Amino acid sequence: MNLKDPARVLDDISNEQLPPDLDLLPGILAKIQQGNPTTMKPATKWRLAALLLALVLLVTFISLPAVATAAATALKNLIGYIPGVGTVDQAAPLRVLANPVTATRDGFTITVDNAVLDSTRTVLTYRISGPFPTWDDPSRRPAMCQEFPILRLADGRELAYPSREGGFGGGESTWKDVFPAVPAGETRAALVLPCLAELPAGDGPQNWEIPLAFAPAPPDMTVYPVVELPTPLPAATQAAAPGNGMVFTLQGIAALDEGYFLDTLLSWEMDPAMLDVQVYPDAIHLVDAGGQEVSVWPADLNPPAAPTGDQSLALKFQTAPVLTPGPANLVLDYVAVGMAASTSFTIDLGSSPQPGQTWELNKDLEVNGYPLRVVSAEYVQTPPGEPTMLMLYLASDSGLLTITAMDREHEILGTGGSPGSDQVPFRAGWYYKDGFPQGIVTVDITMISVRRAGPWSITWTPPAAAVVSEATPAAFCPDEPPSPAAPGGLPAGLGGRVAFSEGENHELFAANLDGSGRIPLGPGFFPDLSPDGQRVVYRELESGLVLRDLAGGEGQLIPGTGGEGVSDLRPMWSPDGRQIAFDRVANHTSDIYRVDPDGSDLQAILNGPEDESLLGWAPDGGRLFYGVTVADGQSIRVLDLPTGRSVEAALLPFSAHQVSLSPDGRRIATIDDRGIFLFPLDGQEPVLLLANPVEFANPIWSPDGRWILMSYWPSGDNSLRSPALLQPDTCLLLLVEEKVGDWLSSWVP
Amino acid sequence: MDDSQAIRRLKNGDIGGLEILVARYQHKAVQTAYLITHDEQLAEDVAQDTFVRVYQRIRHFDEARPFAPYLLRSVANAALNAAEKSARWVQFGAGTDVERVAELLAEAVSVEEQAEYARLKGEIALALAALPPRQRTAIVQRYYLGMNEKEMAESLSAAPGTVKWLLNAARQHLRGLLHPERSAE
Repeated sequence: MNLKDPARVLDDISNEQLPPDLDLLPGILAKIQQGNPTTMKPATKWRLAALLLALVLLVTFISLPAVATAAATALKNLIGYIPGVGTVDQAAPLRVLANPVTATRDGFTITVDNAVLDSTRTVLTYRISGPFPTWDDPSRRPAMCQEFPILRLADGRELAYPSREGGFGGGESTWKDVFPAVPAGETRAALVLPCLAELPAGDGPQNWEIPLAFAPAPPDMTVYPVVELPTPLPAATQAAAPGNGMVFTLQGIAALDEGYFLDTLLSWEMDPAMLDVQVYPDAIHLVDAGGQEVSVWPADLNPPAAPTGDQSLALKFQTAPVLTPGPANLVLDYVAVGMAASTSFTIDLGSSPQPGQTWELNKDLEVNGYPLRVVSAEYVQTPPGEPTMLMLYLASDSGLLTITAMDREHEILGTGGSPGSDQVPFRAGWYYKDGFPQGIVTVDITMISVRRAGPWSITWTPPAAAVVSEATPAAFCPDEPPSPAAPGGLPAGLGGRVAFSEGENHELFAANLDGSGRIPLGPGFFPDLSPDGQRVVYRELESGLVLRDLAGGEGQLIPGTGGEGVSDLRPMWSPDGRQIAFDRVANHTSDIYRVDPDGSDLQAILNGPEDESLLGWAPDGGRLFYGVTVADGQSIRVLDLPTGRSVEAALLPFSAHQVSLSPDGRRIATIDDRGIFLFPLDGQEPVLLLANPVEFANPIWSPDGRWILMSYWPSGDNSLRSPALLQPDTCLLLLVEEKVGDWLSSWVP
Repeated sequence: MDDSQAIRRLKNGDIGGLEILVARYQHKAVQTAYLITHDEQLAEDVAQDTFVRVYQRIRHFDEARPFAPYLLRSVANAALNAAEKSARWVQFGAGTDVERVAELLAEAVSVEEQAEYARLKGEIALALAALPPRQRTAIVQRYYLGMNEKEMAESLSAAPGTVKWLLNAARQHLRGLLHPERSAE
């Protein structure tokens, strides 16, 4: 019996390509330990740029005084980088599209989303959607629209032949067209599309003319400053290793919200044997100081091959965040070098070649000293009336990447091909103008592109450490925290009631702090004791919020809580015990609600698009503290209930998962893998109380705010040993023998 | 220790909870990402970054809900983003369509003979590789993660009709047999 299903098939396919001994944890922990350098406030970007520049200037002045003038010039020549657009020259004011423009005809819609205009070029991005046709067989696709867009200025002048890249998927094509600069002062132009790409030539609406209006760029537009590095660079800052005729150098850097922009240059000496030089995307790698590969991709249009006479090729990259501090290596493994070739061979197509026919050839050739096997040839089927095509299937393990081949004895319309990869074969072919030939044809290989091996590398130190260090205050308590004393009794005078859960079934309990008076509540989460300690509210395992009188009786579901598609969490009593606030997760968002204990007056307090997460009530009952995940971390906000206005009280790092609000509403205790932190909510700097506190979790403030009760979880031991008490103002740390559960949740007098 | 307990440990600042979740789901996460990115290193990066993001946002996760679908759908979305970013590179493809992949999958499910199964797997891998990232993601979400069209529409930020199109558009032609060697013209 066959037990496979599609998931199993896909499982097998991916398993064959992946190593069995996968271990992602070290990399994940490294990224977590570095905090989140992927996010920076806008001001930080400029601080970072200034820091980068300062470093460059410093090293330059120290080690190479002669280039001081060049470095100073670099300061004046800051250019900018916009992800998705590329570099922009800010010598003159930037302009942008005043408003997105949409035009629809015959079911096709063109939407121009963006334009960025500087003194050197005009970058347009737009989308085309509509009923694009499909073809059963790719080779039967007719000739497609080949006419380029034009940017027509108000006075009739035309900017033509843009550099461009595009993609097609999901019934929509997207384009980035780069035109020459629109003169300063021109506020209008028209994007003219003679026909639509991805449609057969002549099909669909033709001659589009889409009016565009330009306006000054808004002052808050994100343009990352690029620090241009002086050339040549001192060896101390960069190791540009010459080798195999190529030199790879770093020209400029920009620190982005997520990663970096790197402006590099590959240069070479004139070599008459080379026609051109091109860099393929798989040839570039970025490796951080910890040996981790970091994603890197082109920051602008992938540059075409540069003629050898240019002697250089500008390569711009964007990277993912570099999380490990220290020198990173940008490595170029190889380049593709174009060369003229002159090798011929023949194919006997017979007297009556048929579309779809293939010829097994297995001819072994040598092209410019590179072995090449011509495996087979195919008469590719094309639609009636379309030019016919002969395709060669090739193989080479000698470094040959592509070849250009043609039949010079017959008139041809064009050639093409692809280098081999895991997914597509190595091939080359051409179209015949006047039908497929018969008999013996001679194939001329006129050009080849070969792999010239590097590696060439740039060593560069990202300033990640400077960013990370901003969030790491010095420890308040001694570096080596006092070893917890042997478990003992509670400090004199400390008591009250607590609620907690235990065991794998999330059994909830209420008890006195010394463990006496334990009352089982059943399975659930987030038990919260009422201020008078008489009642408890918690999230029942499968339903909603349950209220229970600790003097006796069963728990009662609070009407209106729980239900299909709704998950109510973290209930918290108001200081007067008359309301319960809680998180409601529904439709993939988390909002804050309130309800009276009897289920009446259930209403949303905060239900905006952000994910709000309740932290607690202020002692006056008129304000609520809550957290929102933002780009920079967790924003701790205070909602004034009468006015509905919120203000930010603190910004916590993402790593601060366990957050506990002090009873006076003035401080927040958090624990993450770096330590126990106190975050004042009055804008003062956070305080690291104890470093290396991996044994502690789940802080809960004592009702008087003098102690923090935590679960003590010794490293390497998954079983709870004992609760711990920390007095934040004195660093006194005590283990207590009273057993108050695995997961502390609430503590009242 | 089940997922919800691991998540509770993680919510309480105990990194051991993450360790358990990573050990349990890392392979499936990388497989999911690989099927979409077709790049082993990128797939590992995507899976790692998704676990980091889970760690960062765990406070918002309701442990009463199943964790694996949440994780793997996040991985699929991240992999799509990564694949679309890397799609700016030169692309070469033989051309295929989602229906062809679905047909091949159906064929592979029913085949008994090992050699034929191996051949079909190879064909599916090639056909999948030739799809644009968004369609590859649709295949992975539907056939690997078992998502329904409504869930996919939410995940792909697309109208349900678009998802239907992604899955059913017959014979979507992607590119010709002869493809320019550069994406920048």
